[in-house]
Amino acid sequence: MSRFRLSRRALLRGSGSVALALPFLEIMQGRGTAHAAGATAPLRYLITFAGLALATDHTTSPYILPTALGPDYLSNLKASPAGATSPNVHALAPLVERSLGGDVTFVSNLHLPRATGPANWNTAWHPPTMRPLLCGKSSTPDIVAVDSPTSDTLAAWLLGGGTAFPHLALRAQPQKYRFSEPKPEVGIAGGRLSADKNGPIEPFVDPGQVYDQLFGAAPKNPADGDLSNREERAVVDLVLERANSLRARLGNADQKRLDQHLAELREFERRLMALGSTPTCSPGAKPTATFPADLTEKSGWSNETLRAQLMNDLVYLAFKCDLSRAGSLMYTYASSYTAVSDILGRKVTGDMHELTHSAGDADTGSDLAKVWQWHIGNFAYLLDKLKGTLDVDGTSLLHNSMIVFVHEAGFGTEPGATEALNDNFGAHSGNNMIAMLAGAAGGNFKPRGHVNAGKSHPASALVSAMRAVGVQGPLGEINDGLAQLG
Amino acid sequence: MRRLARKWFARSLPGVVCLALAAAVGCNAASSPRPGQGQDSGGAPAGAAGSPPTVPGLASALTSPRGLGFVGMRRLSKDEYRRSLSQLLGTPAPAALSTLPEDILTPYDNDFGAQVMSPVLIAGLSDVAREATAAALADATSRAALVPCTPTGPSDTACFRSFVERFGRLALHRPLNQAEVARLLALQSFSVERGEFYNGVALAMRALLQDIEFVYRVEVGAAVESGLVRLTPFELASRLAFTLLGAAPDSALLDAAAQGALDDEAGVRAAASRLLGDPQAAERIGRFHGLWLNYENADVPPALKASMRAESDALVTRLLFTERRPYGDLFTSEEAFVDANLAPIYGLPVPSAPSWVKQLDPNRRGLLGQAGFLAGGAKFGDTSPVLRGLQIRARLMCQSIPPPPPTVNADQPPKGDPTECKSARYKRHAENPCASCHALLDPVGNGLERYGADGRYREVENGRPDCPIEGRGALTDLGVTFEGPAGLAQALLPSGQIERCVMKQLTQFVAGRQLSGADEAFVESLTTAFASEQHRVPDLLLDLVASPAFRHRVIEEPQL
Repeated sequence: MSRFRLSRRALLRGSGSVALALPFLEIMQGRGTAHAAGATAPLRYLITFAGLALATDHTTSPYILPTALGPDYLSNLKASPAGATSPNVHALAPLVERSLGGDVTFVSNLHLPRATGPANWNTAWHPPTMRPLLCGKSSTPDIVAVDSPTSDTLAAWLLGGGTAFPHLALRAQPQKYRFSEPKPEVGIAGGRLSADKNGPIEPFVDPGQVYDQLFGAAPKNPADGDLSNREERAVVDLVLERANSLRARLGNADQKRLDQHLAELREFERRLMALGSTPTCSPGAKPTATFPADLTEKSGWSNETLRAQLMNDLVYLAFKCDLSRAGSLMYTYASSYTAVSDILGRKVTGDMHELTHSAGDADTGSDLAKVWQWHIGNFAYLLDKLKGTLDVDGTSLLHNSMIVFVHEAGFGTEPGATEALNDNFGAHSGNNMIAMLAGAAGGNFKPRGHVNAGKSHPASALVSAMRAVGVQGPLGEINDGLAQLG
Repeated sequence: MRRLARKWFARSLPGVVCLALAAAVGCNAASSPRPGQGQDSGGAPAGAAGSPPTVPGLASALTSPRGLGFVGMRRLSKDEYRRSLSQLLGTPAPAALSTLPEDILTPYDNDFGAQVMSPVLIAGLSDVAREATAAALADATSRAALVPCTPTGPSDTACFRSFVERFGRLALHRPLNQAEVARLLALQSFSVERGEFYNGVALAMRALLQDIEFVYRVEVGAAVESGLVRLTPFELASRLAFTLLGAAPDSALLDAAAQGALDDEAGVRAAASRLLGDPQAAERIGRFHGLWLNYENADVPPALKASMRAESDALVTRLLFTERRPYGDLFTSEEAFVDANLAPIYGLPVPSAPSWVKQLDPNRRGLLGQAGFLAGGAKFGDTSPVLRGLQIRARLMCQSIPPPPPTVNADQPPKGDPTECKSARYKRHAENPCASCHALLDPVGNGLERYGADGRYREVENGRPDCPIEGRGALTDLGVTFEGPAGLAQALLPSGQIERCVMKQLTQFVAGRQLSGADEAFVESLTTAFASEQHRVPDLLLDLVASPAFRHRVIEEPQL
């Protein structure tokens, strides 16, 4: 089976109306080594997310979940039946195609409890699972957003010191296409995967902007020496200096707002000063894809396939060049209204959210499996790049990483709930959720194939993952990792 | 069969969600507290704290320097930032604006309590400044406007200084002091180093476009008493411009501030009158209505949305600003502003160019009859009488409607017998625990049911000729029945609820924060002033901006 490598031609073919400059990042180049050998390799931690339920209303997931437990869980995957609307697929096929089964621990049968117990969800959809899943704290009708440290920011605090981006928050889906939530801020909460002690962290959504932040925005002319860099710093210094002089004249509440702005501005300046200090790591050319300029137009599709690849590439580069060691990458919003036609390869009315509520041909399982395959394909693409790059200790970047995949909702009935409630929620279930933990955290974590979690809380999988990279302590109200993961 | 039924539901049936608003939460139409119920935020009487006398007849909270309540430092909304940038540079908005985080709508885009800082914001501001500066200096015309002098060389300090003083004044909305000028002049060293005068100019521009005083609305003021400041003339100019135009003050307004013309009420009125003649004033009020009544975010194809928005804005501009008609006319107008996209929806001939035509449907009148407003109440591809009822009561009437309880999923397509008419399913809402709230919401939406998800008139349910639409609605708490948008407006206008609600919404928009009971006195005084001005919006805006409440600022949390 050939290993995936994106060619320029393939990229252009898939880019649709997107304009691209060539060449483009390293996805079109061969694999490289991360650094010169000899040093101890740092650990990295990333959490990724799919805003999708594992099944449609009143169904199970035959083409998404593996049937076998243990290390050979990817064998004998049964594709959706011939004649289904989408081509025959199994959602996990990308892991097979890239030979990642031995690197990915697939945890099934996780249960995010409703209304009782630690880190439960107890509010109207969407997105009630974000806070309990990612912060380990219960959601309520008033609090659904991530608002306290998530596993990735805890990891960043431990691992990220000295890097340009101690924490890197990215999202491939650039905007919320539709708001069905009672309050807009609830819908926006579905687009934030990370939080620290100051609250939710707004992710970057523009790949070109992320590139600039990692590698510098100013045009580089070798004849300039450090002139460009001094100019950039002069601008930021002046903004900071003037803001500081204003501060003393403000009331306390305004000072607090200004302080938050200043803190971000100082981080910005710190990154600016660090630019150019990684001369051994060549990032390749900046992605110059031009996406729909007006993000207020709710088309339902902003070429998320390309965006997800670019964001994966940027995470890869940030890890490879040691510009960041921890972060998060949302492929789609919770309650994602991303259109699915481009993913399915045919015109379909509806989107990812409605797909889980039995629009389209979801009952066959084939369409939902295809959309799941799209998410897992993005995840696998990143893993493959990390696996194919040598780290400074002679192992792979993936070996020294903990890359986690979680999602919004499971399927099935809620134990103990009334029939009416279960019927109401359908795909909106905290039951039967999954998590994937990829990498070995420098040997601290042993991949175990498919593991049945026995209805443990999904945040406990995150505790296992963050413990593997050295983060001690609980994740909110969740104290322990999964016993099945050792 | 079950699969087919589900598909049919998802594609064809309206968004009849069992919005089971539990009786337990008490679903009575809760209007805002009446005058006197809320805590009076007014402190000093009119004329206190050195405030000038104001016109007779204005209610007390408007004449109180503390009347508007606290106003925090707030970041410009994306719309305000875009307008300010274009006005300052005279060039189109840069593409990098799209990288700035989206504003959080509550429902307005300027709520400083909802604003969060992020690396994305800082990077976006830097990118916007870099791109906008480069574009402005690359264009000979705009460059000449920004730097009127001709530099003799990279070290031409006089020319650099004149640029800094002029551009800095416009960017920070006040003259720069000598220390500030000197600090910016230091950037000219980069002009010399590169041998290019405009290099230092670009750096100064970039710094000013990211300056806190450009990115935020900063009001320090002059202390009057504990927790209260009077805005400086330049701060007042800035507040005037952002309130009325949604953009930074122009040079003429800064001149007025410098000359003391804003020091008294007459001067403020004169300056504000000029601003109200700017097309941006009507656009600002149009945007306010779009955010308030939620048609800013209608989920329709972009071209149709643009047509809908153009019609709504045209109505606001023509009635409220050009013809200066009473506010209620916004809901009773008989004319539509149609183009090729809207004419088929209204059953009107397609015009050769967008134009005003009389609506033929007597039940389609005003803003509520426009396709843009009606499209805001769509869900799952059809109308949602519940959602429309909610929008009317929560937005247009400012009533407090609780959300559905956690046990109810309002985000799922309707279930039930697919052969059943939608109206029959809705009638069952009266038989379940959700009845108390649905009794308030459903009848309002039912009165608009003959207008489909895109506003098109219909007499039967979508694809169901066997399901006629009655189209009769009721405002049960007011004891009135109605048919269609015109009937709804006729039922609501005599109650005065729309006028009072719009004043409440305007207060929130101007203050840039969520309101509390402490703001009720101000809303009431604004409502009284609105009536005194025969409900003419420009006149009300003049009363507002000329008032002592507008010219002062209550500090949210003073320094100890």
